Order: sequence, then structure tokens, then C-alpha cells
Amino acid sequence: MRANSVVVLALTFAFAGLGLSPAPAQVAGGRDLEREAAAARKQAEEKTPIPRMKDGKPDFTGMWRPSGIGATFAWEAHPAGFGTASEGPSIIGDPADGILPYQPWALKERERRRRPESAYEENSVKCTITGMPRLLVYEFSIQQFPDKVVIFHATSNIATRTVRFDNRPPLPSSIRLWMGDARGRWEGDTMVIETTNLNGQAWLNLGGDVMSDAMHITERYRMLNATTMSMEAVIDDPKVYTRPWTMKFPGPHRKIGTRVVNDDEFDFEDSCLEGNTDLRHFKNLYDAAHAKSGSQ
Amino acid sequence: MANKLAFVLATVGLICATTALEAHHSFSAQYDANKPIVLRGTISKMLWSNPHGHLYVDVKTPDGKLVTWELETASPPQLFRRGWRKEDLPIGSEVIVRGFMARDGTAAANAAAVTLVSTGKELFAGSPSDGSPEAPPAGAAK
Repeated sequence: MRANSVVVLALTFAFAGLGLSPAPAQVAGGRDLEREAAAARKQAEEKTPIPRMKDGKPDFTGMWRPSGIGATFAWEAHPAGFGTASEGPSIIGDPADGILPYQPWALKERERRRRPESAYEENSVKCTITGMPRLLVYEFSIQQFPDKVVIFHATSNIATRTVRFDNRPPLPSSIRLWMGDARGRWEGDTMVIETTNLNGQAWLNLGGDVMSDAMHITERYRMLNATTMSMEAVIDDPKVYTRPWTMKFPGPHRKIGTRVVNDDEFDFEDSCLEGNTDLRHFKNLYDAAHAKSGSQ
Repeated sequence: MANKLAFVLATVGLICATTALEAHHSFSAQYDANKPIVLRGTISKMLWSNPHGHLYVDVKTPDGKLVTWELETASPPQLFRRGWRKEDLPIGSEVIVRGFMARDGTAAANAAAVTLVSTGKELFAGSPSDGSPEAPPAGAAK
């Protein structure tokens, strides 16, 4: 508890550059994160059968929502405040303190990215693909086939992953992608996805967490019953971090929108580029800062 | 400032947004929490576009000039869910907008709340689900 308080305090200072301020716990843009995670955990206790494919593998087909997280701005625990949709618990399960094990240079780079003038460098504001592993914290839809799993990520910048299960050779190291090269395999009923060949240029979130082209992501998905699943990911990036770390969510993912038609489903298009006037303002800030420092 | 923040935090619960979608940009990088603004003017255009809507309002300066402000709102899907419809915003109608000024010093702001003067109807424009700030108190002025 004491450690958590210190973390929140430290992050309050860390976010000062972004103008963020602490908020009362559990007030999160209309969401109660703790209740959301608890409801998902309760749902996971229901004795409902795991749907299966003809070959007996668990069928993950459906739309899935992570529960109990607010990870748009940071993956460590952080307060809500001006411009931050919600406070959020850490989604770092290992190390146990929930703090990303940064190498010093990379932590400095994150601090630099948190200045307003740096926001222009980030992909989301340009309506381009934000990439992996950033998209793991948002909703996604899975379509499963015997030889591949296709994942549609809920983002305004079109992002789809095709995960191959056919043992084809990996891409050569020279090919580098925002979404990386994803290969799947089964460990019993657990679906394992390994992603490599990332280009290392993406930010992990709007708060500027850092990655490199050496990042290797191992995701593990396991159905708990008909409507919930657990998801964990091990992130290994020796150029940026001092050790591998694990992404862990406070509650299981819930299947949504599959039985009841509601507005949680993808029922509106979101063509990001059509009205993206924001970029002009971010570029103004970027240009002004670089003109001042003479580094443009 | 403390009062402003208290108001901001108190109003968070008014808007229920339970989605877990990706935010388009950092609002705190684009807008300044220390520069709340209240504008009164007439609507010249409404852009129902993604990733954000934009309301354009002509505001008269003290020396009589007209300045068109670009006011960012939530995305059209979010506005729709919150009850906004195209017919709510006829060109030429008078509105009061509460928001926060852009950091780059242009005539741009985040429109956290919009009030139609003719009816007094208030339409929230900000979007806590994607990080948009809540409205500053009505008394805040440029």
C-alpha cells in the first residue's frame, strides 16, 4: 500500500510535464475500474463451456474487451487529471512493483516525450498505425481459422494482425513492421503468439513509453469459460529495458457484443484523417520548440 | 486553480463512457489546463468529422473584429451517443462555449461544453473516454 502511494506520488510528479493532476481513486471518466475488473473475475467463475473449433482447439472468435485498465496514457499506475481519460492501475505484473525496468537512457527519452512539443512525433496524432504492443490494451475482435487467427484492433487507425499457425519460415531480419511478424502455436489449450520484426519506432502509449526493434513479444491467451479469457504478455527488449517484463491485467478479458446488439460494437466508422486538424497545432508546438533550440 | 480542478473532477461522473478505445492524442499536450476560456459567438460551421468534430464560432473582439474560433469536440460517434444531432447546431445560432485554449496560441480551443443561447440547452462536447478534459466552471474567462 505504501509502495503504491509512493508510485502514485512519483507519477504525479512525472506527469507534471503533461499537466496531469491526481484524482480521487476509481473516478475514471464514468468507469469504475476496480468494479469492472471484479465483475469480469466473477463472470470468469461461471461454469459455461469453452467454445471449440472442429479440431478441438478453443475458439477465441468474438470481440474482446480488457477489463479494469486505463492504459491509454501510461502502463504504470497513474492518476487521472486534465486530459487524461482515467487513472489506471499498473498493467506491469512483473516486476512486482509495477514499474517498467528502464535503462537510464530510455527513461530520459520517455521524459523528453512527455513534453507537449514532443506529442507531434507520435503516430496516433498523425492517424497512422500505432502498432504492437500498444494495441494490446484496447478492444479487439478475433476471427479464428484452423491455420490462422486474424485480429482486428479497435482503433481509428486500421490495424489488423494475421497470426500464422502453419510453420512457415520467419520473415528475414531486414523486414521491419509496425505490427511485426506474428506466429502462433498451441501449448495445450493456451494460444501463444510470438511477435518479432518490429521496427521499434512506435510509442507504447501517449505517455511515451519506449520500445526498440529488438522487442520480442510473447502473448498467452487462455479461455476461462464461454465469455472470458486470461491474457498475459512477456515483453523482452534488451536495448531498452534491464530485463524482460510481463503485461498483466487486473481482470480477465470479456467477450462483448456477440449476443446482444448494443452500441459497444463497431457500429460507427472512424476515418481518422478526414478531420485531423490537431496535427497542425502539434506541429506548431514542435516547430516553436525546435526553432528555439536551433535543432530543427 | 484548486477549485477549477475540483469542478473538473466532480463533473467526470456526469458522462458515462465505458469504452476502451484508443485515444487520438494527448489533450494535455495540445491544450492548457491553466487557460480556461468562455466564448460567446455564432456558429459559422460544424464539421462532423473524425477523429474529432469541430465547431467553428465567430466571436466579436472588443474592437469589433470577427475572429473564427476552431473548437474541438469529441468524435461524431461520441457526440451522437451523447445526444448531439446535426439539427441542434444551425448556422448562425448563438452559443456559449466553455473550454481550454490551445497551447500554440492560435484561435483554437477544446470545447468541453456548448450551450445554445436560444434554449439554454447544454451539450457536453468533451470526451473523457479519449482524454478530453471536462468543462471549466461557467465563471472562468479568458
